[in-house]
Amino acid sequence: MSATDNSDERKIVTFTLGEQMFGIDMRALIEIREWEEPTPLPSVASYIKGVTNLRGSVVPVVGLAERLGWEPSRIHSRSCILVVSIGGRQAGFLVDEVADIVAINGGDIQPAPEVEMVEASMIAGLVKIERRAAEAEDAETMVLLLDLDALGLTRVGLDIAA
Amino acid sequence: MSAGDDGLDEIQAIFFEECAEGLAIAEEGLSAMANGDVSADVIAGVFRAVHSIKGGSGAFGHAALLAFSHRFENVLDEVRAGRIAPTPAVTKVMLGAFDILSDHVAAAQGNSDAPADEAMLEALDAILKGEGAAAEGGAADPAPAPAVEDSAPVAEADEFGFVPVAAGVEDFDPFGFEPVAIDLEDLSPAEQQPWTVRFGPSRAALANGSEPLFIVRELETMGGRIVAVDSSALPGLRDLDPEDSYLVWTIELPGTVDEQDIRECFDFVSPDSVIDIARAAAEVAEVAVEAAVADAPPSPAAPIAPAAVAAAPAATPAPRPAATGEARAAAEPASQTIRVDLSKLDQLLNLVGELVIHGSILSDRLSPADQERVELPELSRLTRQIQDNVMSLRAQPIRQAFSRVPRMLRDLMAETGKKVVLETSGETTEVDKGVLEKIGDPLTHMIRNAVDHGIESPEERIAAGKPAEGTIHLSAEQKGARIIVRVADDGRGINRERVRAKAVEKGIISADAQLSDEEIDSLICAPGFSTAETISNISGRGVGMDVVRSNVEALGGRVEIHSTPGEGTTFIMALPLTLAILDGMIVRLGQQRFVLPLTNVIETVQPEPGQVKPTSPNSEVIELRGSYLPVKRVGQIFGIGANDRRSPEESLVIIVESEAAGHVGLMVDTIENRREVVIKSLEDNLHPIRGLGGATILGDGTIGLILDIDALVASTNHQSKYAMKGMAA
Repeated sequence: MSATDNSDERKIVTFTLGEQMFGIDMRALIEIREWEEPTPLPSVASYIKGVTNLRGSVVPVVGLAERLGWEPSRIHSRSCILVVSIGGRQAGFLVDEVADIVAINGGDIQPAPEVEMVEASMIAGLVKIERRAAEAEDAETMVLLLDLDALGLTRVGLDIAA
Repeated sequence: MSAGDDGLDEIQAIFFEECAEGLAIAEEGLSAMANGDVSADVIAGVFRAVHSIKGGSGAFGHAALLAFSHRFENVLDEVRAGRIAPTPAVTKVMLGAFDILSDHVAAAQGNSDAPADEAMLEALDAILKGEGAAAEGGAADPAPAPAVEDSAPVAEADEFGFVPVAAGVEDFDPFGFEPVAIDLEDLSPAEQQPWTVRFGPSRAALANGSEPLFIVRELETMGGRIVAVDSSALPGLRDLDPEDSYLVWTIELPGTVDEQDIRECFDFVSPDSVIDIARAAAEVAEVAVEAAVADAPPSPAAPIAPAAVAAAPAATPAPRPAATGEARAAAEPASQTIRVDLSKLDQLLNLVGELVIHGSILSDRLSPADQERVELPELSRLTRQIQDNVMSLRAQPIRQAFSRVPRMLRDLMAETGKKVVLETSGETTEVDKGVLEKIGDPLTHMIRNAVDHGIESPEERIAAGKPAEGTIHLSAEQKGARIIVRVADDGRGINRERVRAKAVEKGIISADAQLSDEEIDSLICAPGFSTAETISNISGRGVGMDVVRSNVEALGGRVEIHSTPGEGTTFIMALPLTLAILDGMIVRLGQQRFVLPLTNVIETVQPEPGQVKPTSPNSEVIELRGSYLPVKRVGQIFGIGANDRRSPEESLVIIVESEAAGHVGLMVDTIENRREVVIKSLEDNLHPIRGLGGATILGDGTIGLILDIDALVASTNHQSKYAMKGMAA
């Protein structure tokens, strides 16, 4: 997912984790499901909440907030799972609330600033979007676009479990 | 098959598949020859395989492959015809030639550069010359790489390139060894004896689009003349098939013609054809001429026209000799096969898996009476049968994985100067294709490791009182639901002191770690471990044995190492028979359900008070008929339900058998039922987890984790301070 060199319009799904808004490329999204307690797994990274049955496939469910280094999400009525495809593998991300589907312009994406934090590598870029529900004063908001490839579970998971 | 159209790539892909099959057949045959089986069937099988590779390579313009396979085939043909004895020396050269041929195929596929084959070509020519030295004394040098520039046969070759390999492999062409009418064995030492060529196009030749007439004409341009036509195979006019070939021509060529040139004429003739080329004793040839004059209308020098072929049958109808009849019988009932994309089989297997799951859901939801009413048992039986059938489609003999070992060993021997004999057993053990594909790499690394680190140099071996040749025994057997693959060498064994020192040096273990011999042995599978003093070309990159362990564990298998210093090392891979289905016992632990592979389960015990006794704060044993077995609490191993530590009397202990630790008791809350489950791999979407063999979807749609008993038992044994980096994953 290159962040800057592409000026095409693309669609992103936005969602919140705590106070912050995030976005992922719409093309990676398979479905959005209601939260359902997954089957926990032994000896895996703490952010892997377990596995769930997605139409016959065993799909891991990831606490995205923890994965990104934030406080773990608290489960509430609007918690849901974004099922995405990363390099042909499926994963479910627990998010606090799905917000919207927004069209953005590739050229408007700013590269993530080189901050001294591990999680920066999972952020593909920043983009400003207008809030649909025009809550007057705060009409624009910043969305952190996630780099799904960096969120892949197979390799990273092994390192952490080890 | 017009060149350049879109289908060409696909056809080419089929050609390479056939090459792979041909190479496998050839290697198997050559290995059999090396082991002393030089029967006609075996030799013919190798010949056909190489022949068909040659045919296809011509069609696709792989000139280097074509040229090499052609020269290789020449030698094989001589061996097949009994003119060169398949001595061990000859077989050895042919094995070498086979390796080069494999490289050529790989190069044609674009996987590597074309191999240097000059030395091998010389060796092959030497075999050919050695045979014909007496008769050939003054003959010119063998023709340089033939046939490549010869455009006509190349254009024709595509018709032959796809002669199915399988059809002809088992049934050996009876013509090849049919006693030749003329005594050709009586090779006169006199030079320049005329050549006698017998040529009988195979029945399929015309159907394949080849034109025997061209070949005869080509021979004529070299000065050949037809001296006899054997028309004894001709049927009556009523039975005559105009597209069939019935005649066998005997053609005499001047002795000055080079044998290579003659053979080239037959380059693209199907191997079922009768082709005998020999220098004839003059008088015998004359007898043949007389016979020909009496028998057939065409005069020796007459131009050959298709009419002659047609005319001959009318003139001399003759009963078909038995040999021809047999050849036909053998050709017809060839077993029919169909190529199927593996992904389609996988898809089918997945669907059947879903069917099984839904069958389970139905049986969960319906009362036994309702199940009978809707004939669910019958449906289950059918589902089971479909499942078994689909599974059998994917089962392949493990020979496929073993077959690349001999070649590898030859290369390794050449590189290291060590001498190794390979013994194999159990090659016919059938294993799921998915498993088969994934054991190739581990096997390669195990063999490399055995040669590089295990087997000593001949000098060292002799000094140690061992035979100079090391032995590697490669075996496979089915044991319950597991396939056990062993690679046993009789080398020096694992130098535990060195391994330990290296592991400390690499930071894999701490300097004061207390390790058992087994634990030290298993260190060689730790990531980043390598003891090779110099990084060799073969192993020693520090990835090999690590790959073995991770690949095998990813399959739900295990690797064991048994080593005796001075006597050798045995690597054991225990692999699941299938990656798809498992007979399981569903057990409950707290809120979670797990599946225990039934093959591991010996019995279940409801402990009496006092039957389970602690031996330390963290370990317990169960007394069972006078002996004590260790008991593991599954919940504790996985860190679930640790808070409500049940008393043993409220639990069940399942006695399981593990490869590593023998009988062990596993404590669970309850047993729910027993059922066949479809294995869903965890690494499809995640990564392998030690202690789990996968997951399955239970009747109610929730997920049950499948326990890998061996890893579970082994990992808890090793937990202590033996937390090696990376090994827990």
